Amino acid sequence: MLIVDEHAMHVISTAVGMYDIMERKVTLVESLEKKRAPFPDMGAIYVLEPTAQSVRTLIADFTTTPTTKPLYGKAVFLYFLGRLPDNLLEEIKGCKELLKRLKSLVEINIDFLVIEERAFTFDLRYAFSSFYLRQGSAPAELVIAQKLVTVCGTLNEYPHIRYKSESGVCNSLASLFKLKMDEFVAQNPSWWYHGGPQKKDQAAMKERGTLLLLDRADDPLSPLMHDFTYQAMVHDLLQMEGDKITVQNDAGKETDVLLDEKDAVWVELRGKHIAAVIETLSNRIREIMNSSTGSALATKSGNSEGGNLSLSQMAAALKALPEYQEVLSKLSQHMHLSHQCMDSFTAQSLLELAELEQTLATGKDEDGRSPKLNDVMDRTEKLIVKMKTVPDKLRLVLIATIACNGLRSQDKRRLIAAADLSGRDVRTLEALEILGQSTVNDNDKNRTIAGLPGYVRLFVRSSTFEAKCSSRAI
Amino acid sequence: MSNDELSMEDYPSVTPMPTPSASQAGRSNSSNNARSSRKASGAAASARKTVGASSKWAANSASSGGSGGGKRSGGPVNFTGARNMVFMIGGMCYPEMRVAREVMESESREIILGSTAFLSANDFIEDLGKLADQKR
Repeated sequence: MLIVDEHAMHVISTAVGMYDIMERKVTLVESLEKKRAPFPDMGAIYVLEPTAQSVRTLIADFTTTPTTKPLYGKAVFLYFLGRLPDNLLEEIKGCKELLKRLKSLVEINIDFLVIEERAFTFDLRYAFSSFYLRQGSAPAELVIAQKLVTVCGTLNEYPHIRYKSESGVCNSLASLFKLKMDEFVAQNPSWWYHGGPQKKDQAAMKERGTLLLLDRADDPLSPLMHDFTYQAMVHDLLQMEGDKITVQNDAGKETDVLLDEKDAVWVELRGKHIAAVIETLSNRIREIMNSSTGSALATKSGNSEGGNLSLSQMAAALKALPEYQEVLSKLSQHMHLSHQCMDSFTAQSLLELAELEQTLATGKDEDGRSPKLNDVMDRTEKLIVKMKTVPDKLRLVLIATIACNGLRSQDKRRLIAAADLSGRDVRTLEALEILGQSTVNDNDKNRTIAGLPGYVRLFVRSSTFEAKCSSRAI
Repeated sequence: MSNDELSMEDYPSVTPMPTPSASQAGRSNSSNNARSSRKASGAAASARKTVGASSKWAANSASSGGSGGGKRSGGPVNFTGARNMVFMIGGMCYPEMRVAREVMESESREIILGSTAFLSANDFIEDLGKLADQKR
């Protein structure tokens, strides 16, 4: 049986599902923190974070007290996500009952959550403030460095390290990481890395990789902008819980859909613009309908070919074509999702908003002209008043502030008043200063709206153009 | 930054980087041009694209010319050269992931993205709010 602590549970569940675990003959998965029943005849595998808390709970499992006996019988295998501190190792050694059963103790060095094939996260949102407040030593940075070491260990990379020199947090993280990585390499002589000296049992070689450390504070604008590609829209506009989202299917029933790498349609379409997504989905569904069985159904129910299929037609199709059920159902789920996105888009008048965001970010409006600052501020104020919720208004004020590299004092007052921002909201706006972004800029010399390099204008403007296309097509 | 490289001044390395022996790859992507070394660095996207370009020299100098530069293949993408890992402290957003994927395809370089967390716009605003609270 498998026992995991909470953190290990997250790590494991992003990588494998219960089915994969069961396939490997693990019949039971338990949570370390919960009180568990004894299984004296079973072997136990523990996957734990190398923290004092987890280790002590582990030891408690095998401590004989007047009321309890060791929980598990035959064999115990311990796997730690990262480096186990020496003092904790000593504590484990001190537990005789555990030692009797211990068959292996391995540091697997996997301390990160894999969310996509080439993307990982450490789930450290709580540490956001600590990076920028720079109050003394930042334990969060050490945590990051250690986790990064496990990432590189898993990828067999001993990377060159490059980092943004202006960023304090990048500077210290770069040195910390180098320290920890060098330690790791020294302590694991059998571990090999791409671009390093050839060792036996080594897989195909690439050159030595590079790790680039960047700071969010360099670019606080990007996460705030509205993006109209499928994945970005879904996460921005719809209610998601991690990767899961509730979709209403044709029968009006609600199902939970998991948007992850196992969903081939999602993987294919997530980076595409929403208009392209809807078009692709419609075409695919139509193709299926146009196959011989499909057209038989269509003529029977009196539908004509051509045009976008309505959702009710698809529902009818689903019922009548069991062999396509799975495919159609997946496509229709995505259809629902994309329609939901578009509904939000229309409800929040995102087209107009996106237009303004693009003008703010790039300094050029849709006709390629550079509008005057006053005009843009007027437009912003008008739009803020039209918007429905305060968080959205705050978002636009933030975008305007960053894009203009700080607002003129009178504009700042104007926009805050128009958005009716609370004291806390204003403080949130001013938190930008902590990130190094000024909120006030009364310097009238060389006043432009946007300070972003031409390259970004290209990238940013193109998504507006597509947003317009999508709104006309739908 | 007009020569397709990540400037050493703005982006120093911790240990000395290997020196490029080959000149810039002829096949320079048009979108890699016209980058400035501005502080705001206009979205990590621009930095990422440069990383792809600057590491081309590593591939060119070290590899024996074999799959040179990696043309975009129709099927599964064949990655050449060293991996690039990009780690963003403070959080990364989904559009940035998408851009990275596009760069991966057009440059045939493997890019592994990581961050302390993946943020949506509202998450980021929340985090800013907490930062403001903590400062008081």
